[in-house]
Amino acid sequence: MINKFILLILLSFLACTNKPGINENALPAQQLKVSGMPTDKEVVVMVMQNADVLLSVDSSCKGVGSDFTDSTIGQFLSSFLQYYTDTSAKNSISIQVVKGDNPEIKQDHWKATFMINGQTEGENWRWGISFVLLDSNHHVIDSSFRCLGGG
Amino acid sequence: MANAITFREKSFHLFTLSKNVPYKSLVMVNLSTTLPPFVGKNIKDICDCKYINDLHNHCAHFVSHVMGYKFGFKCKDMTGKGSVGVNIRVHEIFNKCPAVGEWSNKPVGDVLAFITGFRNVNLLTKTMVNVPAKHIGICYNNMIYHYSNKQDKVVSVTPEVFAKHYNGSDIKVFYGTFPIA
Repeated sequence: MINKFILLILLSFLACTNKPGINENALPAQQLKVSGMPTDKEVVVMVMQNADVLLSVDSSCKGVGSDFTDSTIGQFLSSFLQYYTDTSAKNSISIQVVKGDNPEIKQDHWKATFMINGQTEGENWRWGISFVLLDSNHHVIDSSFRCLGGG
Repeated sequence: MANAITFREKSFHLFTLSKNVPYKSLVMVNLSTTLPPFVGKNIKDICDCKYINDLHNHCAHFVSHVMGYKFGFKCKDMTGKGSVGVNIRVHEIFNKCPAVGEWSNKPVGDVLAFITGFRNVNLLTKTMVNVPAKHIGICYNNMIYHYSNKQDKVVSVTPEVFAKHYNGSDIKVFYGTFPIA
């Protein structure tokens, strides 16, 4: 529980410090592109920056946290990242970026998927999120968040 | 058995429940003919939505294909392929059960079987949280049919064996009466 709490604090901290106008020097601008296909690192940054998106964003996110009171994307992801403290398990993170094809978005965009993969007592599990960002400025569309995974 | 509630209709599964558990669910599945042939099958033989990666967890996925649970988050939501798709989340199925309880209080008849830590379940609100260590099967004729993610196939075991699916003193088995598909 302590580890989960620390992860949540970390995600929340990064979410605050990386928002424009709050602390623009937290990440040097030259490390991040502002257009084009995002790198894996940029996807991770976007995940952290949007940790405070509410699970009510989409029906796929209803009840996905490991605590009855979990209410944000950050808490959902922390629910599973906390198991990475078990270094004997086969854990990994997978990131995929594909060209977006949502006809409602009238400009080029990307769909990013961030999955947390782990094992518990020999059983695989995979949970994560997908979201859409604009190609032109890497603006993440809040309402595009979906919670993925089963089991 | 005089006070038992019994439903029987053509092609419906037969339910005979304890008088202590009011239960009026009907399941549109004939488990006696449908369920046993699944034993030994891999998920690729079951899912038409191509959600068939052995690295994924398919316990709820298997149960939903058998029972036709099309509510909540589905295999098609993961792949975008196939027809309608079925639910793939244990906690979403648990939360849809009309009645849930500890296995020792299981009504007579066939039910869903769940196993997880007791802190992950709130029996008063009939809800389960989302944790890695949770599993589901179908208890039919005193055997539990479930998808073994270690063996990557459907197996049938006794309730006693199912109760040892996870280690830990907090692990408990729960029943759930069948949700409406």
